[in-house]
Amino acid sequence: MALNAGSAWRCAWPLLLLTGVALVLPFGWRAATIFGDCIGHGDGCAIGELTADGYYLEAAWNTLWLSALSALIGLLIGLGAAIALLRLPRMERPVTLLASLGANFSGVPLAVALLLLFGAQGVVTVSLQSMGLPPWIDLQGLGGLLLAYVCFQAPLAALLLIAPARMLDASLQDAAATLGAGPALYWRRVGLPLLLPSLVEVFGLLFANAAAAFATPFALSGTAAHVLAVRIASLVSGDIFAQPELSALLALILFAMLAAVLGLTRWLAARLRKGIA
Amino acid sequence: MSAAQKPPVFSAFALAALLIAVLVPMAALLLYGLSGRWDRHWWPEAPTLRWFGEAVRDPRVQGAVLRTTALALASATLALICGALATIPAAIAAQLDPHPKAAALRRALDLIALLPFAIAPVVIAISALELFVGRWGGWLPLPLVYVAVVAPTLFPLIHKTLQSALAQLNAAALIEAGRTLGASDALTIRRVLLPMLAPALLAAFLLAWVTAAMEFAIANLLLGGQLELLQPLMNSLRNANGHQAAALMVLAFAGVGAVVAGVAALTRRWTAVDQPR
Repeated sequence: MALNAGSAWRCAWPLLLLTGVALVLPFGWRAATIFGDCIGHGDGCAIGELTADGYYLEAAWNTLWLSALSALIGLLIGLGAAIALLRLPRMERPVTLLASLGANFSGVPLAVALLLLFGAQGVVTVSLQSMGLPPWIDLQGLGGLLLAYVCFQAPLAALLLIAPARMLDASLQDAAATLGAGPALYWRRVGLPLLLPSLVEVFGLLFANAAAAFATPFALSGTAAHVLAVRIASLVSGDIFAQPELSALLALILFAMLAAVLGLTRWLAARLRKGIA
Repeated sequence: MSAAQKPPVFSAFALAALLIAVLVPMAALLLYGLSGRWDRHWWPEAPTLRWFGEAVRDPRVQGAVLRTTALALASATLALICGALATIPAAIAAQLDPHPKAAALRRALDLIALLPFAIAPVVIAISALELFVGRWGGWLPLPLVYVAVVAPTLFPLIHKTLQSALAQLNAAALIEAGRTLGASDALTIRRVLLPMLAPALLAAFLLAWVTAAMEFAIANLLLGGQLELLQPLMNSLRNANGHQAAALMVLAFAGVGAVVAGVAALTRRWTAVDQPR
């Protein structure tokens, strides 16, 4: 057997088949059903329910800004930590390990931990109450979701940015200093432009990570969590009655959102790497 | 050290923020699991190992751990076999074969590795539930559906880990050297490349295994009441006995930490072999 493009394609068949049957087929079938319904029945389809009141559009909007904001905050913390680690090479190994744990520390355990601290009966809340202060944060609200998202976005960002940050080695900084560039000028003209493509790409991944998150909002506020992922699930396993068509439509909206952000960030990162943009 | 080598002040704050975001929730969970009660003061009271003991001995926990381990093992194995079979030949062929089909395969695999980020786990779970269980009458065994649906979501991890290992190995040069010496490509792959890739394969497998075991959305929505896995069990346990649930989460994360540390050691080994510093 000679290894060439043809044999490599043949080797990839099991993966293509698995992905096609387990991932693309169910999702595509559900999307096609929705489109069929809407073409067949006119305005009786799920689009009518979606636009009838702003409730579900609000969930989409919440998902959009929560994901973008938590990705930005995570990016800022992760980037700062990665830059700080350049000066602390001995800390790199333990911090990397902690970050990979933290990136996995989401969902039910994170929700329980945060409720212990900031919930209505939480340690911090009760302590503040005893001092006559109002609670710091409403954990069940959108602010609480943002806090929870940042707790797993920041470590993930750090994990993904530690390797790109190594491009900024000391010789580069020395060269800039020799040429008379101060720290501010160095970061503005050398450091950040070098890191920008990675930052854009990591932003896309973080956005997708937050927008797809189901366990964390569900464990924190149950079906009351007003984000797309939870709405999609609660519409089929519904508390009141199931609306599978509307759930499928929201799933399509979430997919479109994720595909757009992922596609855009990858395209932009590729252009930045080539020095076009 | 010159002034330009000093990273911006905010990087120290960012590193501190990262450590707080990761360590504080974990510490809260650990203290809760180790204390008899933590609802009267801001400090936990009555230190005890009782919850850990009860969590370990609980047959419901044991069953969930066993099922989770087995199903995650099956998903990770399927993902590793399909993923390695696709990624390794594709990466080498892209270097060896100038045919556009090789570059197309590389792009196709990159796209498949992005797909699980674009189709959220909730959407994957519900789509699979509606098609494989609702539409096709449930003659497919549910554990099989679970394994097949989870496996493609693990492919990005496998793809990325193997790709970076292959980049370090310069695999195409090894294949060409083998050809010069009269060895078939299959022989070179089996006798030279796979042994060198073994740590990376193991690292990818372990990462996939842990990720599958900690998965919530698909386990909860697809398997639901039929098969209780670890994450959904944590969620229902926390309402019955918060301390025991916290102990279980701490144990689960200790396991995750051990595997992640193992992966770090493995990847360090194969990067150290190739780039002595």
